Amino acid sequence: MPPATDKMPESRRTQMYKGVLELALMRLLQEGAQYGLKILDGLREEAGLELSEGTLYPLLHRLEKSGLIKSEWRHEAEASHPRKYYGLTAAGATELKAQGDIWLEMTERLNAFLKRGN
Amino acid sequence: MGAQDAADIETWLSYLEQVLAPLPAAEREDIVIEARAHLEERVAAGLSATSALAGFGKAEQYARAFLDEHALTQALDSRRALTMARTLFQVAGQSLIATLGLVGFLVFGATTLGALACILLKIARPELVGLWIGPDMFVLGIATTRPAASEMLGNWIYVVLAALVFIDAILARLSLVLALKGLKGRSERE
Repeated sequence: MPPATDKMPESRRTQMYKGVLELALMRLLQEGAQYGLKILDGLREEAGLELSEGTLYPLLHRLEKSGLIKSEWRHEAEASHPRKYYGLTAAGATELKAQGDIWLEMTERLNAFLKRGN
Repeated sequence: MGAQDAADIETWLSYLEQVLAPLPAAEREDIVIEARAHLEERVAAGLSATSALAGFGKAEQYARAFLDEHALTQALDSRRALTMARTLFQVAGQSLIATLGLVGFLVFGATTLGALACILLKIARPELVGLWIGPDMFVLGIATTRPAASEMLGNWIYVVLAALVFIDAILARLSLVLALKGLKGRSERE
């Protein structure tokens, strides 16, 4: 069996993404409603999360079902198709604050721990 | 958009719509229209249909996340034991959580039915149902041959059996609900 250190960097990265994706998505929507393609590009470019469409849309669907985000179809002049815009709900904003606080505290302590003695 | 790109996208979307058939029509339509808008915008920006579709993966894989979520939610919302058991049965082969949930349901379900049968038999043939405890024996329920100890509960056996029916029915239901919630939580993390 290969040692744990031989694990593909991509596999590790994917596991870590799953934990932070929901948080990053809600943070992005806190700045205003967006549609799927823009959310995908925003998460890739601004948050550095290399997620795919096959991950994003089911996540949006699940968060909407759980009431953390809401959606509406908008017909925009420059688009050939209506776009489904997603926005954060009040429950989503509360969840974002709770998850964000936990994440910041956890990463602060973990960063200090990982850098210990370096 | 070139003819080939349009055809590739159309083929993928048609298949997606087919595999999403178990979803309510409005939900299915939403998913397909949203994917179409995304794909056409990517292609209009210069991407090939093949590259744009690669992000979604195979239609059945893409649909699986929506279908699993829908099936688990439907089963939990139905609050019906048989619907929940059927949903677990469909995934029991690939999931330890589902298998354990089903085993729990079957074990506690069987003891619930057994206790109910004992109550009915006690009414018809009171001498056959009871609690017998001897030096080498413990019988709670039906004794087809007369045990070598005296019966200890009398009519209190009805109370004991009713409590067993109640507790086991709750445990059977709990096995299903916990397994479904476990599967739902797992699919959310994936």
